[in-house]
Amino acid sequence: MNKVAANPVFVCEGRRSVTEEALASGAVLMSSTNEDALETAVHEHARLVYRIAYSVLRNHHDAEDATQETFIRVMRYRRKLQGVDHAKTYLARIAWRVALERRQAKPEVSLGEAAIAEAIVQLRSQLASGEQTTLGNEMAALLESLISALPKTLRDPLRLSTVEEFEPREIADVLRTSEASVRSRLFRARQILKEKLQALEGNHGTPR
Amino acid sequence: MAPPDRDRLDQWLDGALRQNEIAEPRPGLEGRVLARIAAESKRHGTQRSWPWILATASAIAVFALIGLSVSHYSAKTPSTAVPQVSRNSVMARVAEISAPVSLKPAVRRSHRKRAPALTRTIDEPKLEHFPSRRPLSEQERVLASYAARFPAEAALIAREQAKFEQEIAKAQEEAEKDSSGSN
Repeated sequence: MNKVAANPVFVCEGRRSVTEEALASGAVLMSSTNEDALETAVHEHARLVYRIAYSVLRNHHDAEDATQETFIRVMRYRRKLQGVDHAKTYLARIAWRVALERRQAKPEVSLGEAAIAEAIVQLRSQLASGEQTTLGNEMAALLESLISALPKTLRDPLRLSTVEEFEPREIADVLRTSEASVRSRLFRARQILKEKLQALEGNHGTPR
Repeated sequence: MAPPDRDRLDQWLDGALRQNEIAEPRPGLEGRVLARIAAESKRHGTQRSWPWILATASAIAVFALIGLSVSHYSAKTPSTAVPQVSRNSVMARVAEISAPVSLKPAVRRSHRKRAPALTRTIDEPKLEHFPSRRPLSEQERVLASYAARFPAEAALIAREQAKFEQEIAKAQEEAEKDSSGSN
């Protein structure tokens, strides 16, 4: 049931306008025919949508394309979709789907041995110093390839968990699963990443 | 790996994942998104409105044809053969009805005696081509364009029109039978 019906709605010159309350609830995005609702959603959630897209696509240009595509889909289908309560989750779901579709079209890039070795050197250096410095390109690429190699059920929650605006409950909404399931999958995903990093470190020997 | 190293790896992984995902869009993202939405909205609206415009225009043309056909039959002009259902017949019908109205009674196929129609005769030049060659009216152009773009729909409309004309002709014949019977 559309919650906007419970909020006062003003009719101005034949066009429906909504109160700030309705705007804040996010429900108006799906029920109002006013273009301002979509514009408000862009201002409020474009960054979130971008970061969701980037978490999948790992490329600024592609992430921006996916962001635009997300809002265009919202524009096209908003009249057909009623009863949406939360614009944030709704947009996140669309952004996630758009990003995955685009990612499927791109070939995976494998990491060479030299790059892996360089990444392990960076890892050892940072672990030894105990300081968290900026990830080098090789380390970032290695981490990305390890995440990509995870099973989909573990990879998806892990990617969404790194989008700082998202809590496990919201991740569960996007992935249409339970919060408990998200938490357990996050734990398992991190375990696997650590095991793989340790294995790589072992395989590349101790530093001199 | 010893527990302190495990904790360190845990912490490192936390930081690495956070760093890895901190991505900020280029300045002006919202403006670019809104501009794209506006462009798509305009394009989508234009694309969606053309079929409606043509459909409305063709519907108006069809109703005008039907209206003219009814008034044509009710003026006691003899019934003509039902035109073949085709795109050309629709166009021919449009041209025929839109042509200057002839007040000269057409050749009658019926052998029954009828009271002479009180009409004036205006001699018109005999034309070699039928329908007469003259530029199409705005309505005819729209109808032609519609028929070219949506032949299936135009054929459907022509079929419905032909059916309607058949019914009119039948009703006309019955009315004439009744009137000649009563005479």
